[in-house]
Amino acid sequence: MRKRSFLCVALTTVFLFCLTACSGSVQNVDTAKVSESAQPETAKDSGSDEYIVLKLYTHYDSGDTNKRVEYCTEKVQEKYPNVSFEIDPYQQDGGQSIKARAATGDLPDILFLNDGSILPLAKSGSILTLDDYIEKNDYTSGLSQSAIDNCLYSSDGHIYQFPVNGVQPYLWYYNKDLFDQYNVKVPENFDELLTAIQTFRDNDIIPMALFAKEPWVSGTFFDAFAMKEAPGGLKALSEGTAKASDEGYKKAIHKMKQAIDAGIFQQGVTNADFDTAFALFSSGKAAMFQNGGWCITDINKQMDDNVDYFDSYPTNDADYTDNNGCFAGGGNAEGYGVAANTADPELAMDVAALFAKAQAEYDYVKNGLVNAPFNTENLIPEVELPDMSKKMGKQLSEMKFTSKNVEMISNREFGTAFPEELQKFIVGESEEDFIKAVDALVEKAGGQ
Amino acid sequence: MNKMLGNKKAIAAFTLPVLFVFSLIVFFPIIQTIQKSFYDWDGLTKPIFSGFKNYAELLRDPLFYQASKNGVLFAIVLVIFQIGISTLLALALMNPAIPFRRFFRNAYFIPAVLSVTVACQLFSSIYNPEFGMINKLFETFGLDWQQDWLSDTRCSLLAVAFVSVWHGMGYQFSIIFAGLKSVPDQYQEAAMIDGANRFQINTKVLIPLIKDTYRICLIMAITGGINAYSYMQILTKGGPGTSSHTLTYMTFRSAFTIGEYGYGCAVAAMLILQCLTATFLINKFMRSESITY
Repeated sequence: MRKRSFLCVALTTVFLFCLTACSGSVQNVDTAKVSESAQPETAKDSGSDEYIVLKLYTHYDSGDTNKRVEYCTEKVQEKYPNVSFEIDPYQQDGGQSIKARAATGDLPDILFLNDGSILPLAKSGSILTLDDYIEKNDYTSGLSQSAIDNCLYSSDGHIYQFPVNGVQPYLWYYNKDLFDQYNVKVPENFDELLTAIQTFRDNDIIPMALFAKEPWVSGTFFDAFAMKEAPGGLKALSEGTAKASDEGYKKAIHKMKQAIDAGIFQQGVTNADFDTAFALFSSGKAAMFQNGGWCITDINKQMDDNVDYFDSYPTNDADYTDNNGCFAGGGNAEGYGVAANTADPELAMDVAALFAKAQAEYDYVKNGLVNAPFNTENLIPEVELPDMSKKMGKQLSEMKFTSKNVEMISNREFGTAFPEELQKFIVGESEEDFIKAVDALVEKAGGQ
Repeated sequence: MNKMLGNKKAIAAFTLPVLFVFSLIVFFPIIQTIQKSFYDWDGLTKPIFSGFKNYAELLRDPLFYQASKNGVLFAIVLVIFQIGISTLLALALMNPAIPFRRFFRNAYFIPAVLSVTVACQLFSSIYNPEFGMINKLFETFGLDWQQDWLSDTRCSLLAVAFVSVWHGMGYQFSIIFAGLKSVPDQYQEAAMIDGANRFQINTKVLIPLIKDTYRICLIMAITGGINAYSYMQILTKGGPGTSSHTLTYMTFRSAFTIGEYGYGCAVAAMLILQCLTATFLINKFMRSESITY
């Protein structure tokens, strides 16, 4: 009996011990370059000799982003040699993990934010407002006007992040060789686009490779048509100031339907991811490709000078070019913010500002991305800028951005349901049903 | 053995910790979910009590009915194909004339060992409309019926369901096969002596005797179908449009994409209700006296 009781207690103890060993979160953090004598203390007064480690939530998933973090760390350490970072890799999950961490009070000191997640975090008081810092340090004097107008302020009029990107258009790239090979005129209006689609289809070339599995991609495609007739695009729909049954939108939707019925996309378009669509384009199986201007460097590496982008989406009527300067994309309030629970807000803000500027510098100098939010006259890129980058750099100031990426609009109900309706339209829903569905969505969720 | 079962302290010592952990990670979240479904909550700020508003909105939401219908359809596919094919395979392997039975028994379980991601990536290639195996097979046989399996609103849900059929069939097969093996041979021998053929033995003797096993398989298939999520998240992201949404996907969408956690909890509560109802009905109509041999 005693032996059995002892055995019982012993087994229970072992079991409980095993349970405790299972607890505790597994942190998947990397440590960036840290000074040899650094001690992992919480952030204190920066004037002291004490080493400070700030938790930083940023992109850290590939060779180039890792080098970028090292570059930015060095730049920060030029002013704050006692500061280093504990990196928390950015999750491509629409901000869900960062919202969960905000709910548990576990935000990193400095975190990369995008437009979609800023307002919920700001509303809950999880991130700091940077208005006073920006004004006190005259931060905007170094920014381009387009960045101030499009990338700095959130929709509630406050500033919550130091921007890392300026305005960025979404472009329609095209394979020059394929157009030459099949004697297709580079279209400048919708009729020519339809002709191009037909010619490519007749020759078993996919006219446009689209990765519509991502919601924003189909939204951008919609804007490419809608903005020619109604510059407000999907943004106006989300704000409830327009309806799909308005004349301009109806016309745009009709043209989209014609393009889709003519076979503009590859089969399985709503199930295609970026890698699939890009592979079709870069291997010469597709003649056109839609993506942001950030893709220029990657496309150039794969296709050299065989690719260019349309100066304007060829979705307008031939005799109507008023809105040819309208481009989908533009600016998003995206960059580095500061958590409200950071130990030293002033230090964290200053470090975040330096880090953001260094990142924009790196993207311009090392990768030739010309949409830095800062003036880049004094910077010399180390890479030969692709022709498309130079072209985009010259055209950026003339581009008009009057809509928004569907994933970045603050109306999340619209931003979620609209791409779903678009997917149904892309795979065969009728114009009438699509217009009816979008009008119902605007009625229900527009203006939220 | 009786002494062991009579030792209530030992029973408590071994079961209470597990019950505690189970309550903490299963019951407590369910109760919290139901509680939060009566609130307007964005997951970050303080929840605001809203009564039955979320449920009223849910009952007016066409997506709820579509997701529920999809869940039921998913469950029907699982029941018919997963249980049906598993039964045929298990009955086939009961036949001693089949060679390499042990090999087949192990091979049928291999898909269940793969992770959902691997299974979905595999079928994503098979379903590819341009280069996928299925369309290429049709082309080889001269059939003009190539489909855009995952990008067609009419068939995307069924395509996703069949991935689940293939992936989970190993479990159902194992359970049914174990059930069939537990039936003593004398019942089959008696039936053979009475002149029953193989088909009659299977349908009139074996299958009725493992009714309890089928009850468990049905519960697994139906609840698995109603709350399917991972397959559509990986293969179609609930698309095209909302054609492959289920209630679990709708919960995820409401809570994590739109940021309406209260509404998402209401969807989850309805999902729990549907699963419990299905389990209750299955138990009610398939309960029988336990068979002892």
